[in-house]
This record gives sequence, C-alpha cells and structure tokens, in this order.
Amino acid sequence: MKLVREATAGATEAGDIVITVLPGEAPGITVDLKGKSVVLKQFGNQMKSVIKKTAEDLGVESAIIKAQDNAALDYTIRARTRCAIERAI
Amino acid sequence: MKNVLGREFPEYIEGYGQVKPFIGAYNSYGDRTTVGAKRRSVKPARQTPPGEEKLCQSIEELFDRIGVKDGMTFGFHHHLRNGDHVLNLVMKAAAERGLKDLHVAATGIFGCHAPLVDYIKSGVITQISCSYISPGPVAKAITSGLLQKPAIFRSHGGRPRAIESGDMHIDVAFAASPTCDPYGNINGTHGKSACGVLSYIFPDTEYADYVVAVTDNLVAYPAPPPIQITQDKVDFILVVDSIGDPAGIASGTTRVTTDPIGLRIAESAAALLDEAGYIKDGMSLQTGAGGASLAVAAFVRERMLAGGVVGAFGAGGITSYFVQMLKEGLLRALFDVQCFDLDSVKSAGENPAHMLMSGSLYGNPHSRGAVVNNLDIMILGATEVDLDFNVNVVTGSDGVIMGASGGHNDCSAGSKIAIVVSNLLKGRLCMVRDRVTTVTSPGETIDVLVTDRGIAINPLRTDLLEKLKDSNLPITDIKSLKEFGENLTGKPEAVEFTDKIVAVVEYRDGTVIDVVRQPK
Repeated sequence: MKLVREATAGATEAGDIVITVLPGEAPGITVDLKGKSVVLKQFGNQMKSVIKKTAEDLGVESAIIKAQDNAALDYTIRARTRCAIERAI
Repeated sequence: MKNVLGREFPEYIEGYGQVKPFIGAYNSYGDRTTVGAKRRSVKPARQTPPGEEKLCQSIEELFDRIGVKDGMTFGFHHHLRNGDHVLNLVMKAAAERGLKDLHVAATGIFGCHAPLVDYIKSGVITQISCSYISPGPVAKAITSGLLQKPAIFRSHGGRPRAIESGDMHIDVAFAASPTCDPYGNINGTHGKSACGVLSYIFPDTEYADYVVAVTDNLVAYPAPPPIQITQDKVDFILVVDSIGDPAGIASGTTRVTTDPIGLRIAESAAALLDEAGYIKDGMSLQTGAGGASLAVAAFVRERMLAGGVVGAFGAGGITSYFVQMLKEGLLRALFDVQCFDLDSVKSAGENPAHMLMSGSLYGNPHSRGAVVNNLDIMILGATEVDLDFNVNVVTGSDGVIMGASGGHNDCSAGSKIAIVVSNLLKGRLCMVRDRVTTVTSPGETIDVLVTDRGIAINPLRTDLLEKLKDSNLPITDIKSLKEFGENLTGKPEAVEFTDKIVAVVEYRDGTVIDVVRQPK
C-alpha cells in the first residue's frame, strides 16, 4: 500500500490522539510521538509499536507518522492510525 | 534501612537528620512532652495608646527589631491559597537583606509562590517543609533537586506535632491577617482579603519565638468578632498594601462535579456507606473539596434527607456544600480548618456552630485527642493505590512532586471508614499499581477503594466484607481492578530514579513513611 498524500485523523481532546501520516521518502515506517511525559515515560514504546504495527498490518511499507497524544488507549490509537492511512492512499 | 512497608532509605539523611522509620499507623502513642516557648512580655504603657510599640512601619524595621539572621525558620499558613502575597513579600525582603540558608515552613505552597524558585537557586532558601504543595514551579524545583536540603512533607496534624515536640522550631511566624487591631487581635473572616479560619498557623503562634501579624486591614481596637488569634500571642504587626489577591483566595461557590463518571463513583460510595450502616443519626463526615469527593457528600445528603438522619458534624476544609448541610440541620456543627469558598468564609464569620479548629486539634496524633478520632466517614482522593491499599498523593507515577499529605493520613487513621474515590484510569494511567511510587497513607488505614470499574474492600476489614457479602454493589478485589486497568493501558515501564533524596515524607507521628528520589 502506497501513501500518496498527507492525511490526519483524531482530535486533541483528552483520551484521543492526532495521527498525521506522510508518504515516506525511504522504505520503512518512522514514528514521531509527542505527548505528556508522564505517559510517554511509561507507555511511549508500547504506543509507538502499536502505531507501527497498525501501519504494517495495512501493508504500508514507507511512511512518516507523527502522533500528538493526549492519553489515548491502544484501541483509539489503532483506529486513528488506520483512518489517517486510509485517507492518505 | 527499610520501614515496615518495605520502603528503603538511609538511616541518616543529609540535611534531614537521623531517620525514625515508620513502624505502623497505630504504634507510636503514649506519654509525650511539648517544648517550652520563648515569649517577650509587654509592659503596660499606661500613658500612651497601647499598640504603638507593636506596629512596624516597614518590613525592614520589623526585621531589625526581630534581628532576623541566616539559617532561621519562618512559619507561614496558606489560607490565602493561590492568592497569597505574604510569603512572597517576606522572602523578597529577606533576599534583599542578603539573608541565606532560610527554612520556609509554610503549611501550603501554591502556583503563586513561583518567585521562591529564584531564592532556592540563590541559596536564600535551602529548606522547605509543607503540608500541601500544588503542582507547579516550586514542586518542580524540589523534584529536580534544586533545594540544598530535602523538602519535608508533613500532614496537617504532623506539622503541629513537629512544632509542639520540638522536631521543628519556628523562629518567626508570619500570620497573614485579613483584619487586625494595633494590639494584635486577628480576625480572618472580615476585610478585603478575608479567607475564613486561620487554623494552620495556630501552633506557630503558640511556639514560635516571634509572631508577626501581617495585615492589609488595620482596624481600631478591638478587632471585630470572631477574633481567632488574640493579642497575647502577637509580638509585632506589619501593615502592607495587600496580603492577597481575592481572586486567588477563594472561588465563589464550590460545585459538585457534573462528570457522569465522577457522579457514578460518588453514588456507589454513598450506597456502600448506607448499606454498611454508616448513614445514621450522630454520624460525622469529611470529604475533599474536589471532583467526585464532594459529590459523595451530595449523595449522602440525599440519603440523610430520605431517612430523616441528623448528623453530628462535618469536618476539614469546608465548602458551601457543608455550609448548606449545616443550615438545613443535617449536621449539628462544622469543624473547619480551611474555608474553600466565599460561602464558607461568610458562615465561619457568622455562625457559632461553624467552628474553627486548629491544625493540632484537627489531626495531631500526639495530642489528648484529635477531631479525626471522632470522624466516622472520610472520603479521600488518591493519585495511586497499590495492592496493599497504600495511597500516594505526593508524586505522579513519573516521580514528579504534585501534592503533599494534607490531612490524608490523619483522617484515614482516625476515621471509622476511609474511602478512596477515583477513576480507575486517569488518562492512560491505571491508578491501581503493584507498588505506589510514594506512600503517603499506609494501607492499614484505607478501607475501601471505589472506582468507576468496581469497588475493592481492604481484606483487613473482614467486618465490612461480611456486611456487604450479599450486596448488589460491584464489589471485586483490588488485584482484579489492577488487571482490568492494565488490560486497557498495558503494563507501565518502570520509571528510573537517581539516588538523590529530594523530599522526605513523614507520617503524622514523625516517622519516615517514604522518601522521594529525583527522577532520571
């Protein structure tokens, strides 16, 4: 699956996350996650891997994914990532 | 060294001293001796109006007359809350005088005290002890180890105990005084900076070497009733333009939460209290002023009205909600340590059944009996609870200081039933943990955790478990709550800490229940 444009999904409200995907220049998926440090310190790695795996499962091979978190749970992160990717293809 | 909760720290902490480890909530009672206090008697002036000798024209004159010097401990109280000007103006003058190595023994520190950070950096302030601290610049400065000595967090009852026993000596007490006369009678409920009761400064006025009334409302002798601190306690009076910003002192009326999850939690807590038989004539009740905590009072009130129940008293920090219950006759009296809103300030000034209690009367474990001992129901908040029901209200799970004991461990130890109410998930964080980041209140004093995802009863309370065994309430156990939460959030990665101790958390009896280390 190839991304052709930049697309965003999600919201900045508590419990949500804003996911922005861009076509990658090189193969591979890079994830740039920002949010409250209390969350990132304890769950940052887990959240990044959820985003990456969601993209990979959809067959994305190259992408830059920016995420602005406001304490979302994994199911929200998966849904927002999938939505952003589908808007970008 | 490890205390009985398995918390580890050195036997001697630099800047704090020898550590007495926590030995259990109910194991340090018996005979106690208080220290003596220095006092300067005042000769009758006879031919000149009394009071002139107490009035200081400027803070410089005040400092000269006291002979303030490096290394002193200054006492402050926080009833002006986030509007307080007194702590900042005193420390500014101290810094301008070139004083160093001061100990700020404030009962509470708020966001408005941000200027203290510079004085911490420059060594004017090297130690802070407090009972409450709000998340903000000073809390961050302490977390990042800027203070030369570790901060000391004591409960609202623990601070008076420390002063009375001599563990902490106050050299100069600064009493923010909304109304004061020239001989030092102080009224807290009148004046442009009225804040209500002045309860937390009482031990300072009894035991400090010097007591200063700082006022922006000097009135003719005698100050109007109710006089809270009398002239025999006060050495000097300093008149300033403003002791506080009314917008930061108190909100108009404190309202019960409208968050449906908070209401649901509060409703189950009230139902549990009813089923367990705590809502009955002569009952007493204390809640926090925030969110779901206050909502429990609202649901308890409904049940009291429905059952025709008349309670004995409400206690603690008082809100308009408790004032209303007093007016309605649902409670016979209020014991107030702090007015949270304008309705309670007004009531404290007018209604004799709305009574002031000093910090010592409120929670001092080594007195002849604190009011918390008479308390039936205590509703508490928590940042974290662990599988042994230990509660953290001091640090976030990332180790950053965001609060202090307040009356938490005084009330949980004294009350017949101490209930923690909280959302199970706070953002992405599950508040039930294997081990809390910092212990404030020991699990043996916490009876029930009520969350939006179920209720856990401390297994030590076999009587409660028995009473509620046929209840329809969503009662589960604490381990299941943790598993439910972690299924949604995932397992948190451990936060790493350095060896540097930035704060010592004392239990109300003066033993060390935990320490806060600087996060990496």
